[in-house]
Amino acid sequence: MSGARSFKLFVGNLPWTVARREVSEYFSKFGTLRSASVVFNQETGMSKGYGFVEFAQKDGYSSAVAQDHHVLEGSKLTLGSFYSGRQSSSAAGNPANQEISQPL
Amino acid sequence: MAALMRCARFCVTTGQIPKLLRVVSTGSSQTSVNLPFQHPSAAIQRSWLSTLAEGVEAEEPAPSTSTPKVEALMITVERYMRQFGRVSRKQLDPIVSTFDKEGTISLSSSLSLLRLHGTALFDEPPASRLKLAQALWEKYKKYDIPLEVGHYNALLGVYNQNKMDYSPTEFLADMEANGVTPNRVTYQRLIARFCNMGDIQGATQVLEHMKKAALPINDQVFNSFITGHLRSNDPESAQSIVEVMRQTGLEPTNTTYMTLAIGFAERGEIEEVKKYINQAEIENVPLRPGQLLEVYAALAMNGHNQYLKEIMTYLQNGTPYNQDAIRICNQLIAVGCDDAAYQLFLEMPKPTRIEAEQATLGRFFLRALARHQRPVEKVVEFVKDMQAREVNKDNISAVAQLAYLENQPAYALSFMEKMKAEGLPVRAHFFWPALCQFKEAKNKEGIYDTLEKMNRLADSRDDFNQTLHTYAIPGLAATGESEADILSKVQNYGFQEKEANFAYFLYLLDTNKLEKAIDFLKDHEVNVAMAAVRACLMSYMRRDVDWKPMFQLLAQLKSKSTVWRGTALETTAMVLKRALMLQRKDGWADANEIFAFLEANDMRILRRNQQELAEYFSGAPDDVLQKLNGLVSSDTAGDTDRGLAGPMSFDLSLEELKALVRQNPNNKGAQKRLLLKACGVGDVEEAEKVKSTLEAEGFVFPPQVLGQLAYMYAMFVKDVEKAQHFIQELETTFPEHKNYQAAVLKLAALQVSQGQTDAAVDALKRYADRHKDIVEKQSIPKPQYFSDIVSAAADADAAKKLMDTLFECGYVPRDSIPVLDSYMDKLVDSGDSDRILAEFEEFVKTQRRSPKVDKVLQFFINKEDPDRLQKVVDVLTELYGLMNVFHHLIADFIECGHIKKARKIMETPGLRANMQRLNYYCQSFIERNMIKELEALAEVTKEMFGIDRDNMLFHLIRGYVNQKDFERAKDVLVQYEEEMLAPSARTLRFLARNLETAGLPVSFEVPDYQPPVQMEEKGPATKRKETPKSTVSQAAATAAFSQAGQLKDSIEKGEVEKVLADLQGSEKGALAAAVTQLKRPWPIEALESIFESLAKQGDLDTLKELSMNRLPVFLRNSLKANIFAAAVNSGRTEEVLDDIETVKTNTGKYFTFSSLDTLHSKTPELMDRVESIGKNLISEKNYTEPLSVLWCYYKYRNSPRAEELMNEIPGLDKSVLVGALCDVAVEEKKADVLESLLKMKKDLDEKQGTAFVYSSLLQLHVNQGDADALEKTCESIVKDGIARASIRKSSVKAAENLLTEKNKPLPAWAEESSDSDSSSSSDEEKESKR
Repeated sequence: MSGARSFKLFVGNLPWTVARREVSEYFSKFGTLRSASVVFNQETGMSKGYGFVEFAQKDGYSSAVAQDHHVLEGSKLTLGSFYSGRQSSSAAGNPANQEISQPL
Repeated sequence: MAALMRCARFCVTTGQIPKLLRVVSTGSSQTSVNLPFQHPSAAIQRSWLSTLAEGVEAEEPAPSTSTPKVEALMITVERYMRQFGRVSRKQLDPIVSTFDKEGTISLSSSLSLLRLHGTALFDEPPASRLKLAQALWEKYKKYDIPLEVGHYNALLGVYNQNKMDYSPTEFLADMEANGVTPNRVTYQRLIARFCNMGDIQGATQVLEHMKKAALPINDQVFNSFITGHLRSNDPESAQSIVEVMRQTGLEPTNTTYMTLAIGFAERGEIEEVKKYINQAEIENVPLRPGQLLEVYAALAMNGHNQYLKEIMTYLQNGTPYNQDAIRICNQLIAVGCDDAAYQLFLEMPKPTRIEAEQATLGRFFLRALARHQRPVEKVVEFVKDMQAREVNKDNISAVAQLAYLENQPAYALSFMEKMKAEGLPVRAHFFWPALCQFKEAKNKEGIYDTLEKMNRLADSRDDFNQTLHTYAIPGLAATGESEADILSKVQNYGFQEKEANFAYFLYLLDTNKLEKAIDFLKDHEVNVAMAAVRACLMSYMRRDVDWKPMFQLLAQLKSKSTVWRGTALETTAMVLKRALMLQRKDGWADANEIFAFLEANDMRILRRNQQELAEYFSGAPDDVLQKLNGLVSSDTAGDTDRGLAGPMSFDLSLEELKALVRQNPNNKGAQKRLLLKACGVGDVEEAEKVKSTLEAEGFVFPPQVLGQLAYMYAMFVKDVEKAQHFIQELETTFPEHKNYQAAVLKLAALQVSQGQTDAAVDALKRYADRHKDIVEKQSIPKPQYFSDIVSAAADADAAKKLMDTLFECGYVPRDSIPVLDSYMDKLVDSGDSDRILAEFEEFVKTQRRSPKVDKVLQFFINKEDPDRLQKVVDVLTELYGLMNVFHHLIADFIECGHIKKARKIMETPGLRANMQRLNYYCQSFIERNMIKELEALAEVTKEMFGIDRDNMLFHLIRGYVNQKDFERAKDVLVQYEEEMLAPSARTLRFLARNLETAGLPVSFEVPDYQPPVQMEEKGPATKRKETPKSTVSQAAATAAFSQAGQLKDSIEKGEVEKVLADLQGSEKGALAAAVTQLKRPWPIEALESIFESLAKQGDLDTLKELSMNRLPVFLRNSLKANIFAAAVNSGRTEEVLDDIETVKTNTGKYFTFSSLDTLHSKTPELMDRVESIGKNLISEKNYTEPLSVLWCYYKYRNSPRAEELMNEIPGLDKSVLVGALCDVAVEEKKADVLESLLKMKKDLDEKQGTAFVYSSLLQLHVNQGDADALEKTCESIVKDGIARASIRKSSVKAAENLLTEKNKPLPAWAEESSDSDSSSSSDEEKESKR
């Protein structure tokens, strides 16, 4: 189930100045990335203000989630944690698997 | 004046006043001051509400009129107008264009729309408002919208508000020509027009006319005359009008005083202005903030900025005025009064708590500057001032963005120049909106200009090629630029010919011009980037495109590429998959040709592609599968090129590779891969074996193998010398090879652990010197490698030395958390308080990192060193804020056994629970079996503000369950009662499940599973349970919502891969939301493949969310099957079985052979559970389907359980539906299963059923081409008296064809018997079709 174990994060509130390279550079400091992307509206050419990063390993993912604030080019990012968000919604299913982020 | 006096006398006759006032003063102060809602601007309010006065029936536009869209838009805009007193151009444009499309509009909407073109349209200057109004008027005429006196009056109102100089005579003549009679309002507005121009004489003439017509005069007329006198430079007369009004029995309103104040403001006589503002206060009709701001604007627009501050003093009485201020700022900026507008902006009340880093106040202001293209230098000044005042952190790039939002690309581009000059980043994507907007405007020069600027200003060439193919070329093509011109001209802007060609090729592909793209490739040289091609081809994968052009395209690309591997091979596989899918439908007609083409062009695929395809087309003819196997590239690079990065890196397991080597003992490539794999996973024995075999055969180890051997000796064998030997060999034999960092790092860690710190440092430095570029990339390998080195150090000094080496050489950034953590670990172990504090402070201050924060805190807590502890807290507070730090302290005090101190922290006023932190600590205590601490944490935080108690107690239960202490776990439920709290369904289900597993009774009711989406819909109360989470979930919900639209589009386009890729990172609920938005008919195929993929990924939650949507039955059934499959795949079968059991529906749809198969192999014990559910459903509800499916599955597996079930459940044989089983049996060529089914059906004497199984049997023989068996079966059909018509037509035909082909006699079909069903649509058939 490699799909379910993907260490992918939704990154929101990205400023318009940021594209894939900036997101990738920012998040690489937490660990190796498998991919990074920023979603653009091809009709308007504007960034939609969100993107995704996927870590190659859990460590990077955990470090990124554990950090309280993420500020990129002046914007406070919102991280939608695909992996843990899902877990919390399904805690009934298997709380032992619950991914809990580390502090600070 | 005299005329006015006379008129006044005329209109005031005793006894008439109250009535008159009631009729005319809808918008005047006498009533409006008492209204609960005060409109920001009386002028607007009057124009808005004066329908009554104009004799037009005031009608609330009903949503269900004949032209719903324009009316619906109007309702929204009117509501906005009522709320904010203004509308923007952006709101009006869609209404006008919709009206244009629909060609009709209701009377009231047409009036309202026209009226919105006055001062209410805050973001346009008067001249353009007038233009828009006139254009709209022409449209009304064009579409024959009935124009009544109200419309003419509205137009006059718009003229007046926009200060237009028009001829009243002509206007009246036009009205007359159209058969419209002017009314009182018409005359009032004409008076206003004359007065605005300072033409008292003209105004008086109109007034005389009104008098003759016996029309009543109201305060608006008096107000107009005030303006008229002031503008005709006769302030005395203006001032005396107040008295005249009183004489006529009309009390001056705040509008009267505003008019006076504005008039004097225009003249710059501030004392008079203040006098009338004060007078209004005294008269108890104080000017509203909006009116005061009109005065402010009048001063500013007439160049009297020195008095602006004095007006502002009147505004500081606490009445909110920000909405009015926004309107006035916009008006001022529209006429170039930027400074006055800025002054007003600065005075506007601001939120009391804003963080400087996050402040974005005044975006409206910047946007207005951009909209009106104010001078760049001036705007830069404002931006810098806002930054300095910490009201807005934005730099000038924000203005560029706003300029784009205002559709001002040229202006935005001028900011790019400025940004470059200011040293701000300039990136290729900054130019994309300009390209789109110029495309929209069909402005070719604009596009070239943008390319020129991008080429000159952008910091790097990142995304340049994407710019070209996604934005520039489509834009140029849209303006009608020819291919030749595009290709040659873009080369002037930093693009090479081959780049331009390739971009154009992609553009052709993207716009579905496949043939053209192929032709284009033929005579153009290109720089191929296969990833881009692959992305473009994605959209072709959902269409029935002929395989030939697709492969021709790839073959051409191959011939133009220097390298053809990895992505290229995967792309080939992707295209091949689609081609084979179509072939499968067509009976593999062209399969040979396809493979021949691929062979001829040497087009290969990766091993993992072959495996995937072989699995996908497992039912394909053997020769297809063989040929597929023959396509695999001998180059394994693509299969392994993901390196250490992820689980895909070696997609053949060690065992598979061993088997591969066994099968092909001479395949060096396979042996090499096996060796690499064995080294990687640490199978030393196997590695040594393969290594010596290869060595004996004189195989020269490639650098990857040497690196991997070094890795193995360092990592698993722990043999420094051998690892060093291979690294040396690698470095001497292949000095160019760079990628052996992992081995170097592992060796260093080993050396450190053996006390050879200096040697490790040297080795690290040497590698960094040799391969600076690789080290500085900091991309490989994972941070753990570095932290391991530091962790291996014997003491803090050694750790520091290693850490510094890693930083200095550039292996990891200085803020790398794992490395800092490892070091801090050692440092705290050293016990040197001063050094711990100093270095921790240093890390926080310089790197904004707090390594091992809990360990540090606990160290000082245990040392009972309050001073240093305080210092740590202080420095942490700066970084994370007090609330977060308190959470650490609470947990750390508890962990150190100082529960009282933890409780003390709880007394901090305003402390709020941060559930994320608390969850972390709970989890951490549970994992470390620290149940006492967990209990203490739950206890201490009991009264905490914003705490999610259920969550805390849930963790407590988990803690007890983890220790198998079920009694105390159950006791937590009592604690719930004590705290007057209901345990959540999740908690109860968790407890119940664990009690059951432990064989204990469950004495409480266990609620059904409710998907989270529904729970959130219950209301805000549940949502806001915990603040930190609710903000996140709000953000998540917004994100989910914004993603839904995109997902929906992708689903509708059938881009399943894209949906799945997007879904990976999307918010929960996004897909479910997207499905609700889908238009009918349902995109069944796409949805089903999405369901299937989700099931494969084990994504049960998303599927469950989807099941809350309304879906047609067949999709619902498919969803059920996939829910169960997902549950099985993710090991959550019990959860779904719980659901099935509680819902008690005819739930056979959940079980499919493949998921039962997986379940059987993974958790065979759960098969019993499935069985008991099936049995219960039969006994309780007489639902046979679930057990029937299970029986079929057993039958299919040839399990004796099938027989047993038949004996156990009387009548099961009659109720089983064998359709699906027959199909599977045919597909998997299981004639024995069919024979056995046949026997069963015959025994039951079921003719239909027998015929059905026979149909399948025939099909099977036909598929196998077995004419003899076919002949026999036909004979027995005849013998059994089954009519030809009872057998499935397709099977009969296929059988007859084959028999004819093989020169066999056709069977002598039995006559159709009366009891056989000729419709061939028995239950089984239906079942099978389904």
